[in-house]
Amino acid sequence: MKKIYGLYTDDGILSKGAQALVDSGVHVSDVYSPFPIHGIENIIGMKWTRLAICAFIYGLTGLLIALSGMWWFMGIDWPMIIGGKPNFKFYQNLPAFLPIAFEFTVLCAAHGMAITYFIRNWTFPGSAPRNPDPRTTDAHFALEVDPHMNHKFSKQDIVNMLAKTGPVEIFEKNIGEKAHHLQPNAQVISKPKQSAVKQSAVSASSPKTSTSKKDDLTKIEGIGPKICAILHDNGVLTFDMLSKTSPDKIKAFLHAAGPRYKMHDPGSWPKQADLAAHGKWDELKDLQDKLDGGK
Amino acid sequence: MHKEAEIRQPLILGNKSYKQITDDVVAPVFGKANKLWWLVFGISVVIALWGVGCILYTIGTGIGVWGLNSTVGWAWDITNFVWWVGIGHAGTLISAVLLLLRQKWRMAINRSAEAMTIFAVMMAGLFPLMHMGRIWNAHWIMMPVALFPNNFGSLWVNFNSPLLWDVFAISTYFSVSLVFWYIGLIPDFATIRDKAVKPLQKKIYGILSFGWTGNAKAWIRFEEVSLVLAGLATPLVFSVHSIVSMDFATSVIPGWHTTIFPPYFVAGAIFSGFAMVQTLLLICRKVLHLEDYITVKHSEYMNIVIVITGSMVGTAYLSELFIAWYSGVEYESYAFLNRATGPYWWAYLCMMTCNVVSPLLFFSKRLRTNLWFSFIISIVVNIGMWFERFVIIMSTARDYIPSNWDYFHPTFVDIGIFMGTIGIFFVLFLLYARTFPVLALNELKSILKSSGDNYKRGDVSHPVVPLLASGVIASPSSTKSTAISHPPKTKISSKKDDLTKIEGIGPKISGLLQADGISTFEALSNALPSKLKEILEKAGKRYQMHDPTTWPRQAKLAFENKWDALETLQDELKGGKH
Repeated sequence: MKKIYGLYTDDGILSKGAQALVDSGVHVSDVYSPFPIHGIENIIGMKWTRLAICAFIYGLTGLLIALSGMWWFMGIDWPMIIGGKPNFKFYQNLPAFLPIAFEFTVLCAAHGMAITYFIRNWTFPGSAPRNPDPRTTDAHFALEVDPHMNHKFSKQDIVNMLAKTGPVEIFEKNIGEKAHHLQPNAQVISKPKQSAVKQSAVSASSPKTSTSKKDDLTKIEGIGPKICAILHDNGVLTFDMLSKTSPDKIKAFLHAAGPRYKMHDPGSWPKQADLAAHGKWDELKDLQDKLDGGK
Repeated sequence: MHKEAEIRQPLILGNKSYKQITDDVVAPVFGKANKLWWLVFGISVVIALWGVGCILYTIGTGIGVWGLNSTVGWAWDITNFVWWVGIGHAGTLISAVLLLLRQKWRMAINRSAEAMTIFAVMMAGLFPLMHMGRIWNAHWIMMPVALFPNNFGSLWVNFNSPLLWDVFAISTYFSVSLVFWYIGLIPDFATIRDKAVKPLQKKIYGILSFGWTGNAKAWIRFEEVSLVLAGLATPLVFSVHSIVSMDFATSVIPGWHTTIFPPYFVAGAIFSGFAMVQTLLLICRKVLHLEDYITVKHSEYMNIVIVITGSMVGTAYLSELFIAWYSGVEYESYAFLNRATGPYWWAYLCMMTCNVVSPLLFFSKRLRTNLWFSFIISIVVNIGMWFERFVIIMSTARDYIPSNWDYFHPTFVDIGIFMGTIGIFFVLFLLYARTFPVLALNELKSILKSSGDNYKRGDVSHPVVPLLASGVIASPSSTKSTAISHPPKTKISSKKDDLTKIEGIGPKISGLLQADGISTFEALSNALPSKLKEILEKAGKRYQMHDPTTWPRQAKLAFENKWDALETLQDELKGGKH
């Protein structure tokens, strides 16, 4: 499924927006910006990198290579007598080894870290850029929400919530494909109260009407987050709806979603969903104990 | 976000927005070169070709074509080598040391300074390579045993020799600087890639930008790598020129065998490096129209570094002389006496005037904020620093045995190679200036909100842009439609406010401000504290103790008729100060 992006013109607005979304329970998967936005990693819950530890290890390796190399060259492989003074012992030579040991440590630490940096970012000469919009390297800032990670909300919910955080554009796209612009519901945008952006965003934008109510289908054995999203996309939102869907139809949905979902057998899902829809959790549990992977 | 003191002068002028910064910096890349660029480029190419000719002649014939002889075994080439390496110090110093010290003014100059470093170290590397004579056997010294068997068996280079330390130091310095520079360039190449229209340009910058995406994780890594590389490069900078100085200091030749060489050489290297950065950036700023980013303040900061390091070098010269006399070592005393009064007295005099006397002029604020003067001094400093190396190295021509004494005459090949390296250096730099983002875009953008003049003045209403500019739905009334309000309108009105209402302003200062065109609360609220400070300083010593930091804020309240709020504020203030 495509990811949803909100495009902003200011890093401050984006940070506030990201905070508001996170407060509302939305999982923000990434942020694209023309320069580092300090503190954004704490807002969207991203871990700090451990590259510095790598650099330390590379440096230590360099130091060991340099010292043992010089000890071997100067003391064992070809001992040199310079100015009539043999100095074949490691500790006798150590002061003279220090400059090269230092340089080689720095060399290994710096280059090792740089190479790791490129590999971790997966960026190499000629790699295709993966930013959602070319403007994010200039003066725009994009916030990425992956509907897969936000099952509680429908796509329209996410768009509505995004719209309140002050973006200039909202669109969905797969990287490398064309963007498709999205519009929030009219009543969302006409609410001028900025305060609504904060905490109240959830209650304001996810109406509790039965039509858009969603159940957590992963409670059904055999359904994970991915399949849950597929079912939601196909309009199967609640346990009740799932219980009334024939296994063949579910099978068709899975087929359409790709070959990797072929092995799933939805035979027992409607039955399980029926129990769940009626709140018979104990019975459901008994049934699931008998089932193996939903089969 | 970090809040910068109001009294600090802004580092980005001209009401810039993020977009404006991109457009200004990438303009030379997409635009056509002007005549001045072609002129300087043409001259540089001619000189570079002359140098390349001389280099080829040396390689083809042997270094006998140089002016070296049995006594002066090291002269022109090592002078040029040390000179170029020294120049190559400023770049990494600016990018690494100033990064660790969180100096924001480095943002506008680090990119070009790093480029300069890399080109300068390349030029430096040419000289030892050529001095090896048969450079097609250069790999022997690197990989003696298994990979390239030579005729001598497993003979290793001497790892106890400062000359080999230097090989490691320079190559580590060069490659680490290159990586540091390039990692910083990648996001900016990506900006050019995403702005480019021509397919070829897009392709080239696409390759150069390594597919940079600019997502949050990549930026976290970017910042971590920059910081750790800066931490690694800082001791590296100091080690490189210390080791270069050990080429001399570990020998037992009078004038060389001194312990102050490492710090003294490092100070000299920073001194000459900053002078070269100053020269190049003052040209860049004019030719590429970057006056808003490379401001007089930047130039002043660099001049301050020049005057400090210049004074360190001067102190080193004097302590050398003192120790030569005080030690009572005849050879040592003679070497220094000979430097000053012997056949190379003119070089010594040149070194002393250019390096010790001329930078002292920067103690005057008027001179160090004068760009033409800075430009001239920056060139003078580099001439002086070349002579410093020449003077030190020519000491070998006056060592223990008078029969060894000789005078060095450079040949046309010597001169050609040296001039040629300057030519090649400028060719590389000019090409860089046309094709690379000469300012670190991503770093400049990150300081815009703390150091941009419009932001410092509080002139930018929070740049909120209408919700969903795609337009179908009207934007809510609470958001403002302008990204950046325009610079203060210079309304010509005869209206004058009573500025003495502002705490800290009396009738005298009020008169001064009005004389400078600040006659209303509105005008005062738009004025920068640094500007006000300037007005006061101009008016004389007695106004210097006044601190105008809060005046614009007070004036803003007065202008908005918020007298109660002003009174509360004034109660908190003491004489208009915090």
